[in-house]
Amino acid sequence: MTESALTVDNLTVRFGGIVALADVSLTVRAGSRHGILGPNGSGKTTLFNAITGMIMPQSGRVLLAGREITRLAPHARVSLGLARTFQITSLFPSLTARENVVLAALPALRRHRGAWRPAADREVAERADRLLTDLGLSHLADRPVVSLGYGEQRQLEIAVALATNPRVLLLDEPTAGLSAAETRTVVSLIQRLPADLTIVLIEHDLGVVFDLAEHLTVLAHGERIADGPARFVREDPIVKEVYLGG
Amino acid sequence: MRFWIFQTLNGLTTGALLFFVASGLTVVFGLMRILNLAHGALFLFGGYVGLTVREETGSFLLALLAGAVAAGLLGLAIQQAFTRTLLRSPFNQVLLTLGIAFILGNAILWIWGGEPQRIRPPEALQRSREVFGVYYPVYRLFLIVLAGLAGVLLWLLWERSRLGAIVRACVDDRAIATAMGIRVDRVFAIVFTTGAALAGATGVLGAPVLGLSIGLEFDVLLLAVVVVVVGGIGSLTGAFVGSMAVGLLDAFAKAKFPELSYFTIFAPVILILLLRPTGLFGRALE
Amino acid sequence: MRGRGELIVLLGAAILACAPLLFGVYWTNLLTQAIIFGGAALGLDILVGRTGMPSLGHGAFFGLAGYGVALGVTRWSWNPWLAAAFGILATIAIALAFAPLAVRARGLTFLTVMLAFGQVCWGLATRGGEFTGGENGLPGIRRPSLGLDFWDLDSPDGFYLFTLLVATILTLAIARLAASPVGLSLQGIRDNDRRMLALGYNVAARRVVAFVVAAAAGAVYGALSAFFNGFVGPGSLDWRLSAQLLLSVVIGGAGSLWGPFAAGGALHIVRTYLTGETQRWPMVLGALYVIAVLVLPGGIASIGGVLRRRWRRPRRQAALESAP
Repeated sequence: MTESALTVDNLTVRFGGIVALADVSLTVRAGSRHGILGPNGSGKTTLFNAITGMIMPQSGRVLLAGREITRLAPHARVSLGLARTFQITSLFPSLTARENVVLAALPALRRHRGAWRPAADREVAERADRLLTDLGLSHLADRPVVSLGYGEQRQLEIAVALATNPRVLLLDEPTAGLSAAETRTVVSLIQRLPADLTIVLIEHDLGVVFDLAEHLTVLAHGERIADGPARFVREDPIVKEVYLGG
Repeated sequence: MRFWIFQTLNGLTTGALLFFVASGLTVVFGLMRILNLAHGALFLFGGYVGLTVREETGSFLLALLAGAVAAGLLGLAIQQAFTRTLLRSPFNQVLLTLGIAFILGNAILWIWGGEPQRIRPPEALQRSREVFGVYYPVYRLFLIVLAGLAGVLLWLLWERSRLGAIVRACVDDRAIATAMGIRVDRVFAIVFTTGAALAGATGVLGAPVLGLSIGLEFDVLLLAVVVVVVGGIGSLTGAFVGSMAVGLLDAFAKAKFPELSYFTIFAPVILILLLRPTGLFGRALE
Repeated sequence: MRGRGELIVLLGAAILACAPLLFGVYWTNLLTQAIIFGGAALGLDILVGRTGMPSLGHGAFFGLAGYGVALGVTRWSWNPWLAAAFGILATIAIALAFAPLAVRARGLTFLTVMLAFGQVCWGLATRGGEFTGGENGLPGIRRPSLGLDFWDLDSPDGFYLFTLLVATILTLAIARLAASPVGLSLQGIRDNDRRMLALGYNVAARRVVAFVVAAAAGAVYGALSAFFNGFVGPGSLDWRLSAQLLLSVVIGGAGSLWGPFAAGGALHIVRTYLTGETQRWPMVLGALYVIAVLVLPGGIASIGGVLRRRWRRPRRQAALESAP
């Protein structure tokens, strides 16, 4: 049994009377590529929000590499190695791509406090540039985010998440709203990410999910209806009926 | 006891005038997120136009009408010329509307001179009469009653009329209102013009009490901005309650602790805004 | 990048230091005030431009420090240096006490809170009776002495150079802060404060830092202004001064630091000139504001970009037209 990078244990989230997540459990193995599938409103983003601490669950537990993080503040989870991207691009629009990455990297390096030394000293700047180069974004480094195209912003979003030096990366619909060509770029970018990085992704585009994920969890109406290796889940009759329109 | 009644009436008079000015400001603010710092100058401009008409024709009613029309037209012109610039950034709003306020204030000085002026109240309302045991100018009582009536009227317009429903829809969510086929730009023109006209009319109505002088436009503006933010941006109820509260606070503070008069108005403002950043009757925007 | 910024500040200071050789007393005094208002605008830009918190009450810190200096020198007969330290430190203490409350408000609510704060200070100064001199203010503020034979702060040139020195040191410090992790995080907070929270930044504490830094700069220049004029009055707490500082930031280009400095200085010179030349100066000034918004919505600091685009457009069009 390989160690679990992220474990969600009987998680329940309610908004008023509406149950957004009902008793959902899943285990993400370290270094795996784990896809979360489900129709709109099935609780996928709610699951991410609960894992990252943006909302608090009513019951259940979240464990990061065996450590319970259910009640921790979002930024405390970031410093433990949990990063995410957002469905709606969430960058710093008037800053350059490099500055975006630097801002995300500073807390991870414990260098975010000084008021007297430069923010992007050689080490931080080199780290940011290396990250941008690795993702094939180095040509954008000095451009302000507002001047970037939507596809470029989605890629930068991944770079910003990686800058926090995560062990687990949650990607919320990384290809939503992209053209076919841009989608291919982002998919190959995700495929090139380090193999020891654990990735959980929400995705609508089934082609993308089956390209990237080896393990799938399927949600519907806030409940887990299937979980297992991608090739089995794909053939699961319940999944076909509920989600693939069977 | 008579002191309290007297100061309460004073406070309500100030509150009434503030409400007329603040109601236009708050709706424009709520509708387009535009803080019009030229609103006070429109108030003063209307007042001076009214002064001329009152002296030429002798009619207070004509003066009131002229003040409203003049300020309304000027407001419409500003709105038509600058809306797109104003919507671009809040910083530019401050710069542009303050610039207009300076231009207008100086133009008023140029046309009417720097002497403080006063408009005589309508002849029928020039006396004083006894209310609750104190003698009080009838004209001021008239203003208080008028504010009450205007409050009810505006409330009906806001809550019951088609235009009110449209404006409220736009305040709540401009994007959805646009999607529903509402011409937000036209609604905005109407609201801006109405607000300006109301400010101009208030300039005339207030002139027998506050007088007309250069600098008054900013005194009124600052208080109106405070009323709008404390009451809650875009809320007419908030503007009414806020105006009366500031008016009463001002009256009592000036009478009781003249040396602390600014402190007693603005310190509670700070407190309220820190406890309720959206204002008393406001909801979170953006 | 960083070394270049510091070099530009020092170069600018060196050029300005030559001014007394070229100009007479009138211009030297005018430039002294221009540096004071430009510097205060630059300090305010940390709060308004970098952190995105528009304040319409910043003049309060300028005026409070001035009153602190005046009270020390005239009421309590302190050494002017001690009075300066008292005025500045007391103002910073007030800012530090008020900041945690004030930064809870955002946007126009913050603007109004600061307006109210400024009005409270103004009201206390005008109604302060004997103690604050009421409407008349406090005259008779002696300037400090450096104890150097060749540098007399009572002379226009001497005080000008002293002001320039203080402004240079302060500007270098602020520029250094702006480029630091804290400085960069302020821009992040302006752009997307929730994301900053999620990344692990203490957003509220950093807003306090921006608030206090801006207030401290305002206090230093307020003290300089009090010494320059030998007098403080309620005019130094008037909301119009706050408006002028905020407008300087906007006209200069919020967030660019050097733009607000240039605009703050230029605005004071233009204003002084217009006041002397014409009764219609508020109208001309108002027209300048309107034109500034229409022509340079990004402020003076954006002029380079605007000119570059103007320059490029015809060429690109020419290239398109010459294409087959």
